[in-house]
Amino acid sequence: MAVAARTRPVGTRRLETAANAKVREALVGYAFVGIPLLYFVLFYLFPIGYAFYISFYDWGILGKLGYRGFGNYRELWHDQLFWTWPPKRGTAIWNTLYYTAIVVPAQMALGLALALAVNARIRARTFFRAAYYFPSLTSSAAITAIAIYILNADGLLNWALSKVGGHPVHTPWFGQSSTALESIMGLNIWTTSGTMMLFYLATLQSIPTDVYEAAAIDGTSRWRTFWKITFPLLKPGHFFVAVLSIIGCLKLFDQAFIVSGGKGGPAYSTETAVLYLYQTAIGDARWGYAATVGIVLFAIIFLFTLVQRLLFGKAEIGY
Amino acid sequence: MNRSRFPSRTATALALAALAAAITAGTTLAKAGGSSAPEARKATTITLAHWNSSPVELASLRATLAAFERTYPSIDVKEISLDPYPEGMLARFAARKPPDVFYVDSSVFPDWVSQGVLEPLDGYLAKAKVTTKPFFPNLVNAFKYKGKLYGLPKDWSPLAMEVNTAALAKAGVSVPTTWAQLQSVGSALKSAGQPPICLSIDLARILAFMYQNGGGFLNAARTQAVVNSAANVQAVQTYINWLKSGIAQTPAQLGVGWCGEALGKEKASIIFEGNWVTSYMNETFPKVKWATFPMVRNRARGNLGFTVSYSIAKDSKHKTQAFTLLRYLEGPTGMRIWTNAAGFLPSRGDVKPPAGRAVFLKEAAATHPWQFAPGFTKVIDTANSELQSAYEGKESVQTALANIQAAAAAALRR
Repeated sequence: MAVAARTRPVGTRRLETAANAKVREALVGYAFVGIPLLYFVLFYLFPIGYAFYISFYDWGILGKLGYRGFGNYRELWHDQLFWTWPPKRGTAIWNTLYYTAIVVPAQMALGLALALAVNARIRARTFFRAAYYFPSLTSSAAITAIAIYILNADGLLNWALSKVGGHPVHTPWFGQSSTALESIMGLNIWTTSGTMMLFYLATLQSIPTDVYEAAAIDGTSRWRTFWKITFPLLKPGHFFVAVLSIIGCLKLFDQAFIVSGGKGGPAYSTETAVLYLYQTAIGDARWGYAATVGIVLFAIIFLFTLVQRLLFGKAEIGY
Repeated sequence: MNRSRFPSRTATALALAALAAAITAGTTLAKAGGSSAPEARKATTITLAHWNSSPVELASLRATLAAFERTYPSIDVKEISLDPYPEGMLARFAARKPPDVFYVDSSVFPDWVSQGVLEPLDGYLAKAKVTTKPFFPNLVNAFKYKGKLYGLPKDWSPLAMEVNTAALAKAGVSVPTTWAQLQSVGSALKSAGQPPICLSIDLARILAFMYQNGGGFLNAARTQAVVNSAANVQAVQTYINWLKSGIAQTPAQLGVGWCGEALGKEKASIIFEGNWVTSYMNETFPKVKWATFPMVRNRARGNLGFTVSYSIAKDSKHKTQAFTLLRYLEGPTGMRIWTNAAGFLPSRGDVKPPAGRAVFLKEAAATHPWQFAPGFTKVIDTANSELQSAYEGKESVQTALANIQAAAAAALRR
């Protein structure tokens, strides 16, 4: 027998290699994505679907206790602790919306101010950037625990206010319903503004400098430059920060839980939607009803995000 | 390209994925199965779940369990401390892997027993010829449901009046016994510049005063709410007036977490707390001169009893051994070791209480258990919020009690 000849001509072999390589590339991609995707499906998609399923049942400690159809949703519609009409402070939904309405603009404004400040050519810029961002890195539980001490009736804040005001101040900030939620607002505005600052900073630095040069040539004042040029060009930043901020505010839980010991605070002033969900699930062990609360909250957040997307469109810079 | 030298990218990706999966599986298995080493002896291991509020309490429990294991060498007890307790227990119930013996607070007992997670004890008690007669009847009844017994009380505490004797001496007044005397003592303390009374806006304290005025929360059969009575309105109004007039202050106003801390830091002269404050004061504020006195009264004596039971899980796999442990812990020997070491009050009449707590035992006759009906956790939260609103002046006491009545009635209907 002669030397074993090549079984396939060169041309076909190259074609086969190309097709195999494409399939292999695809397989490699799927393999890398496979594990995180599995995690995402198992821990995010599956619980959401399962929560939707058990919201139609009366689900107790030991499992299914009975099919209720839309009974849970009807009960939630009439639940005075969850929401009332007309809106009233002290209900879960209206507390959360009131909190969001105040905190989101304040966070955006403070984040923007800090971003403008650290974007300017001042010395130790990097230090200030790190310093302003630092509160966002720390655990919110730890910050709240310390804030409870500082905002005590005999605490540091009242001591400082007494010195400034000249007469003794003894307000228990977290202990009375008129100031408890507002104190949490102040705490969160300060903590999260660092993250918002970073987003605004990124958008700010992507604005080309020739716009500012043109403005300088035209002789615009600092304020007009900011209001007429910088602010509109930050639209993608506004949209992104607003969406994140609103979603985060609607999910407020840990500060409300720590400040009130899980009870919803003095006279239900710190009762938020997620805290109400937690109380129903753990305090009452009514997981079907708690799942209903979760689904309704999901629907509200989804609605907000959808409205924002439709109103403000895609995040695109256009000069 | 030289494919033979290095493994292909697909193979690498798949190998990494398999490695990641293996590591995850391995650590999960290790956590689940590796912690309980196989027993060399033939002893059965049962678990006891509890919460823990101080190192002294933990040491006392361990001492009691060690004594049990010496008496019954064939049973090993693994004690686990859960924090937070209700959440940890709910997770274990839901997983059908509950501890064999565990604490049940009297306030969550109706929820747990109505959901069917507790084992009835009547059969075991009858077979072992153990009677519940030595126990205080009020406490045993707290753990009965539909005629069956589901737990035995392990200890208890009522409220009493703790007084800073030095402050009262400086104000030149004697210890009050009625509401009227409490009012005048409070005014005297205020005029003498001494620390005020400490009162919390908490149903777990205000309810005692409602009982003292002849009111209540639920009727005896626990089928109806009676929150909306004139006696209750008067009691709550008096309580709030003490706070408004300045002779009493809340813990928040005093800058403390609870009234016990106020007594210790000498920010309050009179507080109403239970036996837990005795060990707390002795350990944390030993220099303060204070003493315990009986609870005040008005039209009647009225007090709340906070008690915890040992119960056995319905899904327990070692019910016989669990009952042996429960019988020991609730028997005279076990209870004596526990209460003497931890400083708690025994729930049996034939066990002598630790020193300095006789005042609490005398409150037993006027004690109503701190317990309602299934699903009342939210009602208690509503009650506390309504009382806080009434205290802050956002609504009248009548409105607050009417709202609490509505919430209680709704919970009873479910």
